[in-house]
Amino acid sequence: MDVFMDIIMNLWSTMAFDNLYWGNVVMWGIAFLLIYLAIKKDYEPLLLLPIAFGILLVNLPSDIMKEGSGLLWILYHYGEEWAIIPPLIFLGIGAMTDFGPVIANPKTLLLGAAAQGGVYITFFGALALGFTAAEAATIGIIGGADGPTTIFLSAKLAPHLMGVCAVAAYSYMAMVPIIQPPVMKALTTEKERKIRMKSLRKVSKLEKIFFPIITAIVVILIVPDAAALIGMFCFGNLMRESGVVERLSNAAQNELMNIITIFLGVSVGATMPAEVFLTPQVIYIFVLGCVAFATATACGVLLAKFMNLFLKEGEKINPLIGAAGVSAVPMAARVAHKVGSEADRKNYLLMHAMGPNVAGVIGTAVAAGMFLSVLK
Amino acid sequence: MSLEMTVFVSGITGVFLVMIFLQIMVNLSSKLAIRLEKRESPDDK
Repeated sequence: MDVFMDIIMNLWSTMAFDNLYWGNVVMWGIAFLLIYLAIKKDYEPLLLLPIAFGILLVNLPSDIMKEGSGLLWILYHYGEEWAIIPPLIFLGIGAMTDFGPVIANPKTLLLGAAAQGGVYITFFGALALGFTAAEAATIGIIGGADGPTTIFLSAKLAPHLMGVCAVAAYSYMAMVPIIQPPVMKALTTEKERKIRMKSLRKVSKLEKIFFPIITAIVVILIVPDAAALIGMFCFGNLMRESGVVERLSNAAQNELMNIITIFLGVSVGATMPAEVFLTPQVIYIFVLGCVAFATATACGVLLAKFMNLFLKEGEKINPLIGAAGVSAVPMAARVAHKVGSEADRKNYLLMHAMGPNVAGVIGTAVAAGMFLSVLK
Repeated sequence: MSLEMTVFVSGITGVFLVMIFLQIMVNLSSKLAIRLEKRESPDDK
């Protein structure tokens, strides 16, 4: 009997049950919720699903996140801590992005900048709640609605907040159609929402080739800390527009993007063990993330209204497209179009909104670079 | 100036500075591209 008990005890000691605590079970619940949202509600499934599974794996007692040897630790360390994966994602995004609407109407670049106002308003909100300046910057950048930039900045400034901020950013990006319309409607009149914009001119191939080269030079000279993100972004776009390296462009858009998305998602999820995630700070971060999205939307809309004061009749901007400056490509542009078409069914704002939308990606990377230049 | 204000002022200034410069450069490069394409097009014919 004693031998039998010894065998049972030995077997038990090799299992993980002893290392479980209630926090892990709560985290399983969160992982299941995210899996549900990704599969059933289609909320950013490409990232929420791997992140959710990463959360589940790290909250099952094992050595998968053990420093130096755990599989997910290795992916996290070399992918995110070394900040390699976010710039590679930017390479893919660059290869997928058509900058035609920005080139046709460069004024919309300013709307991409204005939406970053939400980042700085949230920065002060986070400071008021007791976060350090580096943590507040990481939380503020959620308002840029750009997952890779959020991960990039948190890896450099506040690695302990990476998982929470990434989940907040991706969750709110999926909720853009819910968060933005009330803010957009509150800040605009029916007449403003009905403003029709001139059709965008056709942009030539040479203009599209010039754009990534010029963007890389201008941005990196002014904000060298944004070089990794903007450099890869512009290189990806040059591959696309040059038309001579279609294989590379396709690889950046598809195979490379898919592979790194898997590594990014699962290893970001793995940064959320119960002891890190189940703190009051997390609630603050989610509230601030929502504030960041709403204020970024408001700043974009308000700048568009301000610009209209100086623009001639016929050249005025529909202020709704300012809301697309928060990035979240192309969801925010679709929301601007939808809210506009509710006021005037024949008003097609989608292509106009794509301008500030892609400008917002550049704006968020620049804002992250500015945070780094002061705080790193 | 406190660190927080430095972050805010430099951040907002930096973002707008980049976008204003970019806007100017995009306008100039578009003009250059259109001119180059116009110059090339008669040769193509």
